[in-house]
Amino acid sequence: MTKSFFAGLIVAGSFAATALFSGPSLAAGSSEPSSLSRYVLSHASDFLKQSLAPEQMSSLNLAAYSAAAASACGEIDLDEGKFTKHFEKLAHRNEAKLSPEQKVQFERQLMLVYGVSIGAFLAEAGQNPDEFCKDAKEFKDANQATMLWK
Amino acid sequence: MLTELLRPVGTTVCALAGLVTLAVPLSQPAAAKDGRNAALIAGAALGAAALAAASRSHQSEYYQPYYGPGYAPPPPQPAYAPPPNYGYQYSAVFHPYPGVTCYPAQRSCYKANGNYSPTISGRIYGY
Repeated sequence: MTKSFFAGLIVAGSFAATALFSGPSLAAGSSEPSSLSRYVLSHASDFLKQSLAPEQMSSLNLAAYSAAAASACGEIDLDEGKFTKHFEKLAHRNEAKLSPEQKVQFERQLMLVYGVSIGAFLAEAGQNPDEFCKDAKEFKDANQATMLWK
Repeated sequence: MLTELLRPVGTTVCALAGLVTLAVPLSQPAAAKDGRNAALIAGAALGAAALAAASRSHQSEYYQPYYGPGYAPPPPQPAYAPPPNYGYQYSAVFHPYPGVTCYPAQRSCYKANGNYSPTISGRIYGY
């Protein structure tokens, strides 16, 4: 898990850097608003669409966003206990049928997409840190039951 | 196939027969009055049957395709279950609030300026 986790973070870093430097051209020819995180997440989610249910993809987004906001915004800190427990929701939808090798493969993919998603959110925070952290604070104040922050 | 080809021909023939049956007795002298009345009734019945058979609604209601010998009809459409990633592939982008766009495949929503909205995403997708 640890090796996979760091591998995912390394890949995330490269994705985030790519997103940061190629940002303005992402929405060229499109009527949709330019969004770095949307662009990156749309591709990252493809890796897991056969493995996770849609609700689990929400959980993965929440984990990545919470980690990114905790890293980028001063007033926000992760609750390690909640965060660790939250990852239990991210089991493969057919976990019982997977071989040990397939479980390792899935775990690597999960960490990869998690890392890429963190990179996507950090890229957005880097572009407009004030707005990013203002939104995060608003989300924190909503104090939802699934909140992963202290 | 032959039945389908002959259906409009037969309908036309029946309709013409009805008209001829109606017209012929009127041109004869009044000698065979009973026979003429019977012919009128029969002609009217034939004409009504022809009109009913020729009507589009009647045809569509009872139409059954004909498959000749050696030509198997196509199998019925199977009732497929939704694919496992149904929610990802076929859900359309939508706007829950003015200026907000949600992308079901990514389970995330974005503001008008393109920035991610955690609050609305959480509200829509149950974060």
